[in-house]
Amino acid sequence: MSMTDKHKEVFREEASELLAELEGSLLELEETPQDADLIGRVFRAMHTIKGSGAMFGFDEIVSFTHEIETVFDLVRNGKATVTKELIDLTLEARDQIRAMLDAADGEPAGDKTKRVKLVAAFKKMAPASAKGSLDEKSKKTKKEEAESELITYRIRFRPVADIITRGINPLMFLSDLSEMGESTIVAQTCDIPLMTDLDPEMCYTYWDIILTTEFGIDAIKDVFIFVEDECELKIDVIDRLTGTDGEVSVKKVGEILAERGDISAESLQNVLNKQKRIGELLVEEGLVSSDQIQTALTEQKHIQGVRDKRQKVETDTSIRVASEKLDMLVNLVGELVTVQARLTQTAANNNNPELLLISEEVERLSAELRDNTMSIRMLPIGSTFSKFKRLVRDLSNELHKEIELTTDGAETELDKTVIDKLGDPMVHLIRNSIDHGIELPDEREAAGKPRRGNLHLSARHSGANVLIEIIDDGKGLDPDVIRAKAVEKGLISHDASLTDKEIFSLILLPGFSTAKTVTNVSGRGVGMDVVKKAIDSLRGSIEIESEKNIGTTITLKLPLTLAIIDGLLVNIEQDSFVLPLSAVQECIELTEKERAAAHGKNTVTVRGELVPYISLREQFDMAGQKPAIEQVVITEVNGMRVGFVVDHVIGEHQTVLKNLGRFYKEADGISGATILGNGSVALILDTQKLVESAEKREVAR
Amino acid sequence: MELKVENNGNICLMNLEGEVMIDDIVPLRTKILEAFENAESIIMNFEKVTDADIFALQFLCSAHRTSIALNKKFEIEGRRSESVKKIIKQSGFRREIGCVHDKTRSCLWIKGE
Repeated sequence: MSMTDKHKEVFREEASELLAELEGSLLELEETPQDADLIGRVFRAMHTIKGSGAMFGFDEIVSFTHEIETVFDLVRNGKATVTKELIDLTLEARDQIRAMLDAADGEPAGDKTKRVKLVAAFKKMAPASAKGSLDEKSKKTKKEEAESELITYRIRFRPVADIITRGINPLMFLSDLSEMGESTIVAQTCDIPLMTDLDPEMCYTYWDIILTTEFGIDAIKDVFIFVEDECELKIDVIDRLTGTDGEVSVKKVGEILAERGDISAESLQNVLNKQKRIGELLVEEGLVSSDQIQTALTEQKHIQGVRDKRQKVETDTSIRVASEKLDMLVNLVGELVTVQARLTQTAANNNNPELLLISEEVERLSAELRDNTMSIRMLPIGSTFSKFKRLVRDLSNELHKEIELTTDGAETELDKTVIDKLGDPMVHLIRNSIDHGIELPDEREAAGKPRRGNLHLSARHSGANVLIEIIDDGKGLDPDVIRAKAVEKGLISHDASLTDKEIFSLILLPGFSTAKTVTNVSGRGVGMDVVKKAIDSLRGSIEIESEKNIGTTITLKLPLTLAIIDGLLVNIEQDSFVLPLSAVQECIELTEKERAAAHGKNTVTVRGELVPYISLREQFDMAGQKPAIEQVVITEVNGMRVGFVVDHVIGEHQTVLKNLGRFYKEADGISGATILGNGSVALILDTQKLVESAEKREVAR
Repeated sequence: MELKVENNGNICLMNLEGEVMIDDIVPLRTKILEAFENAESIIMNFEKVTDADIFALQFLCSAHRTSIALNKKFEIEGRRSESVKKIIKQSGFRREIGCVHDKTRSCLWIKGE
């Protein structure tokens, strides 16, 4: 990848983030159209996309964005207002910029006709007179210097005295310079005459500007392009700061003496206090004026400020890493964990104390490395939530509903892979809530509810899982309708005794849909089972609660990570299995006597409570003789305590999850595999699936 | 711009209201020069000034300079509005030390926004 390509890639990443932020800002702006901060954010996002786009040759994006920026510049300056039309157009424009960015990745370039229409609409909003100033500004978007280099300039700007009579306000240039970077402006007022001699329309003031910017000298000259014959302009570079600039200030003699202990800091300060400052001495000698000292002081202060800030940024800064690199790191950590398990086993087998010590140290380090690596991949779910704001807004408009989206727990962190895969099922659930759940405003009013429905998304941690809830205050699910439909489709018998919760879970079965009409939004009957599959593939589960006319709550229970988990290693005969430790509650023994006491039923009594169990030996048709005392690993599945009977419990195991591959995709009750220290493979059990299939067998019986 | 003048012995209090722009300089100059004839000190209250331009700031500098030449006092008082603070900052009038003419160390813009 060439340097240009790398920069383009960085631009695409940054632009994507800006577009996400832009969308959020626009949606907020729709609620509070007067918010100057939001208007500024929208303008800056457009301005940055345009500016950086120009640097890397995204000309189409630049010219398209320019039109939107023009309108928001007017809004920013109070010459236009935020309207629903403007928000709609800008959101559409944002999608088009996204499409143009994707096009650079080889995706389709979006709808060009739509872009032409959008440009026309934005042009209509911006009067011709407003365009000039931005065209001028666009010249400043060319960063001519290396990206990381900050240059400090001293600019002397002395306009002709009658500049205002030529229709030019010098303030305009000062503002333009301020927008280019960090600036300190000093008005030189020494030429201002007494009142009696003052012509109010004459500009007696000239300016010294200290500007620290990434822009080159030509960009600064461009600011004054229209007054180059009407001003005296002097631009000098006074400081350069690059990313690798290691400039160190030389210590003064007094500082060195104090550091070496030759003189105390206090004595040094006393002597220094007697000394006059160089500025005072020079003014006293009449060599310079106090105005000149003022400018020099300002310059010194400005540069010191910029350097301090730069140093802070350099120490505080974070780095951007491609997610593929993180994936690779996690894979490597996974391999390391596997090798560490081998080392631990070998050390145990050899009974070598020194090797055992080393293996324990490696085990500790690899566990820390694992936790740290996993934490790098953790992302707050908030970014996913904010994407849905747009979805809710668009769908509400489409379906003529009034819906407010509220969120809670946006800071909850989940593994990046989980977040990536969560988007589609969440979209489907939200669509369902909006389409089937929340009623039309009139219907809501008639039912005594506020016209505006509420859709609430929340996320929170629960042990090694994250619970995500999608809660609507709509009409709720009707268990009778669902039951009738399930009977009609032959999914349950007409006399089946089911709780409401069980009835609601029927909607997760393939082909189930109660929608009378198929809409663009949902109701094609291919939805909820796909959602369930997606959540299953994340080793998660779905729970539905609903109350008629009150609303529906769908809870997704998801694991924090999909890469490495803590597991409980168990054995049946010579084969090993892993149960997710997060689901394990306790382990108890199962004797022949207890088995007999259950009268053939797969239940065991734990502290007076009857707990059903699944014998994995029977489940997997495993040959051999079971031991006299078996072990029951009691887990929690869907809020129920369920035991899994195994021969031996080995202990905790850091489990690196590996896919089983396509051939074993249909293997029921197995969610993956892991490699053990001795090189053998242990299957990872999917407790929920195992319980479901046991229930099915029981019903069939 | 609206100007109300109150005379209190040797002190003349000028209350300004609204925007003070280039077009207001001539009438303001007349009033200040008149005040300097009778008063030793002019206090200009800026609290109700909503905005100003560079030329108005330049004029105030000139008024201050004139006061020093006449051995009189010229001060600005009152909390300045956000717009006024902004223009003082943007146009670089804010100062750490007074200019060469500020012999009485009474510069209008020291640390003033």
